Amino acid sequence: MIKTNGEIIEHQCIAKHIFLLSLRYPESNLIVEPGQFVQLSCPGKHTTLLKRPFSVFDASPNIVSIVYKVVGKGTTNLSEKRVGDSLEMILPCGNPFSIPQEGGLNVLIGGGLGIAPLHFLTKYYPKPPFEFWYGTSYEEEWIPANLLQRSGIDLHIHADFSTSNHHSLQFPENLLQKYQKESTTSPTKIYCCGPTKLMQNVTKHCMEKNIPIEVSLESRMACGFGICLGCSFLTKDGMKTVCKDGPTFDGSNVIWESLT
Amino acid sequence: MNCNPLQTTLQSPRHSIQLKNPIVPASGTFGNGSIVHSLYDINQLGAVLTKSITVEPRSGNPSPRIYETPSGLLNSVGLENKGLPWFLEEVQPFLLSLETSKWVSIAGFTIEEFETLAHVMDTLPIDALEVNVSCPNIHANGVQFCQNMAVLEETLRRVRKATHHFLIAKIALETNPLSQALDIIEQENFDAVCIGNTIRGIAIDAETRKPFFHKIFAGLSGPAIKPIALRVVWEAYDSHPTLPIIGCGGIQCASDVIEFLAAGATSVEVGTLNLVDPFILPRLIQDLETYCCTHQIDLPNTIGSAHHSLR
Repeated sequence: MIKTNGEIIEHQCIAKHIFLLSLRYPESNLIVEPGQFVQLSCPGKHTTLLKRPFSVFDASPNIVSIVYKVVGKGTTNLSEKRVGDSLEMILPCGNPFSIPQEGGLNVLIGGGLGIAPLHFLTKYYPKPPFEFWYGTSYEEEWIPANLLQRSGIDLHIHADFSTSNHHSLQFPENLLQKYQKESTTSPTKIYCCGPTKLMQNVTKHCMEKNIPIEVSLESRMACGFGICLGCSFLTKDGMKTVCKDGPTFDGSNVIWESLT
Repeated sequence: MNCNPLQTTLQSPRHSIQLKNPIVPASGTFGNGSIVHSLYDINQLGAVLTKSITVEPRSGNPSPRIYETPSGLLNSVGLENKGLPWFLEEVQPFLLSLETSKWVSIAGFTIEEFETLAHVMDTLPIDALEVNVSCPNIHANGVQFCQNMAVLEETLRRVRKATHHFLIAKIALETNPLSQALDIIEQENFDAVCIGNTIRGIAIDAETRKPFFHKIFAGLSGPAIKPIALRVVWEAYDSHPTLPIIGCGGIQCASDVIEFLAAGATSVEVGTLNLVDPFILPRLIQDLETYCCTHQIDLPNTIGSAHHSLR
């Protein structure tokens, strides 16, 4: 984990209030793996103190990309940054996903911006077969499929916008239901990231079916590297921090009620 | 140019501790040092101070625990830690392997717990014990130890009897009456005071119109509280000029450290900014050295210099 400055080399709005941001940094020997995150300073017109944690959407030597939604002061500041601007960042933070099994079928279930680390998983490990299920609450917040798709991925895009305001009131429950109903495959492992309710439901499904499940949790954080305990929660192995012990966890080990 | 060393001494009538420099991490913002030691050599710090340890393991408060404010941070961690046996087993070996001043923070929920912790720590070759009589996140009948003068006096007396270590009383910035609390700290043969801890605040969720934190109250830290911490350090130095003061509250840069020293602190603790930038402490030490060289000042003469300037 290092502190460095990243220069914005790409910053585009890809859906309503959702941006793709890529930063280039000088250190070429840094290894960033799927599931890890970056702590990014978000200076601007709104006063902020803490860095903000973002899952890595993609990375290559010297470059890291994130996808974020404008939800508060920090991300509002971030959305106003331009190509060429520089941001202080700390990376890589947290533990990556375990390596997907080659030859087995790895099912990825992502809700909303939970697709970010799952997308990176498919890029980082090109060989294992993946089946990618993606859903979100709002039609206007769809990440364009061309950003997610790569050859070899079976991408199932789920939508149910029959309700008013293009809002799928049943999300995230219906994403899992759709998967359960339509998937004909037998996964060797399921990776899930998204709303807590989605991850909890998918974990329950996996435990019933005896399928290994790995989740990537989200939490409010201060430090992002395990010293403030601002993101501690209860697991079957005692208290763990999302930032340092995770954010990737065996879903069956999480006491979901301790997460809010 | 004559560059002065950053060495500083916390000197009481009974003890003295010499520090390489006045920069110490505040308890609870540095873990127990091992994570940060993997990022840089923490032996360069003036001292290493552990997270507050309690007798029993504590799972802390439910989430959410963190709320950012303009220039500050509200936290409701609730003294999460794995308890005294774990500390002795897991933390002690690492702490004792360090080659800088080794400080341990203790927190009790009863006077007896403080006494027990002090007694156990007395057997360890550490350099100082910080007695956290101020944490606002815990419930001791709703009153902090430092806010009830009779309780404070009894607590400090029994801790002092339980250990020969250099003792630091960590008090709240809201301690009232401050002068009386400082009298007690001196009278009970404590060696220094740390001013201070977080300030009690609350956050309300405007969407739900409910308190943001389950425990309603949380502790505010960071640059937002620096002027208040400086004021309390000023008042403490004014009324108790021979009691070593460790200033703590919102320090972000070398000039902030100088401000605390000029107000009367002998050393400082840096808290919230460790969470913003894990590499801040070595930079502060370096910048402080540069500041002293550039301004041709030394630290001993800086302590309380803002008071002296008025004479």
